[in-house]
Amino acid sequence: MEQILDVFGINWKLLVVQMINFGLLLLVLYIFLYKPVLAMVDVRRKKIERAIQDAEEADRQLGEAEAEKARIIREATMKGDDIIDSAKKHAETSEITIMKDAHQKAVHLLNEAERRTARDREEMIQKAEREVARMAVLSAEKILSQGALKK
Amino acid sequence: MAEKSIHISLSAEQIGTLWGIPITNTMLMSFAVFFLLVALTFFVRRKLALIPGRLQTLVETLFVGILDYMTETLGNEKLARQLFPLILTIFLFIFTANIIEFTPGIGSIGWANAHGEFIPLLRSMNTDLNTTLALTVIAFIVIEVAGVATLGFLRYGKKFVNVSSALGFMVGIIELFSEVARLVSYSFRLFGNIFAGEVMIIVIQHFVPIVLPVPIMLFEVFVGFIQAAIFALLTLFFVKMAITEAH
Repeated sequence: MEQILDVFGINWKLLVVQMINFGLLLLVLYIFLYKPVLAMVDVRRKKIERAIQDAEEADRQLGEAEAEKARIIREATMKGDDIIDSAKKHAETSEITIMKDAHQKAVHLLNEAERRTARDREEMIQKAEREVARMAVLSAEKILSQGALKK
Repeated sequence: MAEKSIHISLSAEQIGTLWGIPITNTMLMSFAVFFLLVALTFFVRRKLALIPGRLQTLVETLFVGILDYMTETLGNEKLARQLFPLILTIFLFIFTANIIEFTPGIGSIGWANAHGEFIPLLRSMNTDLNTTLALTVIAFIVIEVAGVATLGFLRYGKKFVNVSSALGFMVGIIELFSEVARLVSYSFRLFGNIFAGEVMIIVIQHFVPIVLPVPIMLFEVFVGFIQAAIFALLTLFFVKMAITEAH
């Protein structure tokens, strides 16, 4: 055993030095390499997770907003249709009223005109009768006066 | 032409002593790997940002991939996060040492000692059993601690000392042996693979100094990657076995 150890140059001092060397390397690499690198990876992973969550949240909100928009547009369209419908109905009733009014007015005007025409004609006839009577009296007078002269 | 024989030493060459501790060329190499990794760490860390650059993306992808794989294997995210630094450091440490083993200067810059033997200043880290054994001991301790911490001492101990039946007792003993044998198999697997690669390259360089060593080196870099991955993965799997209750 002793000889084997001697042939391979095994020396407990060298063993201890190598172990310390390795232990020190382990410590330095752990503190300055593994820990910061893995911490960095973890931090980034968390950040990415949060970013993805945010993106999903934004997507969800966008979807909600889209739905809201569609709903609002649908409602507005419906409301607009209602307004147009009621306006049309209103216009129709108004039209009928206006037509009726106009018709009444027209009838009234016509009646008035007819009445006035009848009255005018009557007046004219009366006037003419009076004139004829006067003319008849005048002609009679003339005839009578001529007859008297002849005599 | 003076033909020199190939000198191969199983143990790392000692190049000095500091406070009673022998300084070997593989130890210097492991310090070099340490500083290389620390420098890389600060390079990556300096540019760390929430919006990652290319290097950071690569590092993060690797880390997250490994962590996910570990979580899947262990079936326990908390334990995976706790073990992640160890597994990854084992891999990075061994892998870095293995890919820089053919850097010019490593193994070629050195001097001759009193006996006329060449002593390189730097030597591939895993060609020293001390390094691989140190890593193995750390992995072994972590495996046992993970087992005890997850199952509790008694339930974990039942894997090895089982007196419910004669067969169970035998199985327990075998388990105990294989557990301890892991120390040997672990350290020698890594040491053997990398050392054999180095020796093969030295031999080939001795006969065909140019062109031929290149594909072999490429293959050895691949072996280095595989061995680093095996070491780290086996640690992971043995932890998984340790935290799984005996049936």
